[in-house]
Amino acid sequence: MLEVLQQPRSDWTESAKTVPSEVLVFMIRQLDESDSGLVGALFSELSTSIARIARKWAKGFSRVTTEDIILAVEIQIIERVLAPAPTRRSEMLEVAFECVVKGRTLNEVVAYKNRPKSLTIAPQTPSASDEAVEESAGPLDILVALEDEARRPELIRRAFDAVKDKRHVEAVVLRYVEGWPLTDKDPNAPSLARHFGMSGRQIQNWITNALDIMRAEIGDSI
Amino acid sequence: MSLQNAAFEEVIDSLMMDESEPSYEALVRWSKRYPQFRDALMTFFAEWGLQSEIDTETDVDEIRLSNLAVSHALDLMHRRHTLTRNVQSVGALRLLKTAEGIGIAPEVLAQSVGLDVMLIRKLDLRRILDVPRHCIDALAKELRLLTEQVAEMIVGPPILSASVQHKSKRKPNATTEAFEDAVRNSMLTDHAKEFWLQVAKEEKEHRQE
Repeated sequence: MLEVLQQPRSDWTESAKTVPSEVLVFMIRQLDESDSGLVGALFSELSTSIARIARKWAKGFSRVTTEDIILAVEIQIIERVLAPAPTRRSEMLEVAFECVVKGRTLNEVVAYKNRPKSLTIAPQTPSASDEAVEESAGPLDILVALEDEARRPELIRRAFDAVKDKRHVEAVVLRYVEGWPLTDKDPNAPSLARHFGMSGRQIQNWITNALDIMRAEIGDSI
Repeated sequence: MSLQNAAFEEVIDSLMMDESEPSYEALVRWSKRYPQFRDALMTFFAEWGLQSEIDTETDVDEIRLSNLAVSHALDLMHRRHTLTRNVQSVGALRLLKTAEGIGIAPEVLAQSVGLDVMLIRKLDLRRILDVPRHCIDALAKELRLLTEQVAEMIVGPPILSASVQHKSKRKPNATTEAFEDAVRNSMLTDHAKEFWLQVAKEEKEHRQE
């Protein structure tokens, strides 16, 4: 930042192409509307940076939806950058830009998925009787393959293509990759049943069905 | 943006800095730290876990996105600059005049933010005290201004309506009322009243913490 401050502003457009995004934010904050040409150039670079980070965390959507999500994130970041007085949230951009954009993107993806849809399936409240769910072991070869970090992305991608209900794949990922329990005796503890609003037994059925389809789809390559 | 959403955003910012992976242990840890966001954290971690495992990114039109972003940024800067200049030249700007200036009628503004016209007119005349931040944010969003700019318009000494005539030698005082009373006395539906009263209550409790 000190290096940039020592440069004449006429050099800032060129510098913007190489400096970290945190420095771009700092540079923009030194400007006002009279520097609209320079502001535009700096925001253009910042936008490119935001899009590249946001794409990594908004996967699985059409191009139009992905662009909508990224634009929503860009607008949120712009409004933080242009906050009239420094706030903790705005200052974070000068310290951990990628972290902020990643968080905003994931939050925006969640918001998109939670938008009311024309047909919704009413979630069931997990009942106490579902607490003890006998978890049937899925096809072992699939589970072993999921543990292989190098192969996992391809397996998940093919699973998304093959399994109709994406929530079933999500349940497999959260269960066998992130280690979430199906249910938990503590009603406040996170669990798959609580997350999906379904019984543990239903989630187990989802997982079993998804693993069966995954095995049928990719079994030969294991 | 509601107070709750703003607070959750701050939690997410800290979370992203402290955690590199969406592990279940991290989820439990953060849920214990912020129990009021337990469900939101669970949904967030689930999405983070899922996104971590999908490998294919979607191509996007970066140039189009960049043009839209730059346009938004310059528009926001211009509005702020224009408002600041107007405030300096003519004194405090008024809410309804600002809305009118960008083609938004009072009825439309009221409906967009979930208030009624009477409440909007009272805000314009600065007759309402302790206006919740959520309300000011909503107005700012509709008028495409910064929250602080809208706050300047509706917070301050109450304004006597120009149509008020008085014979007394002393200028009459404009009456004010608390936000909650203004809402209760409004023509809003019961559901809308309940919403705004809850917002006001939550913000007051948050300030006291």
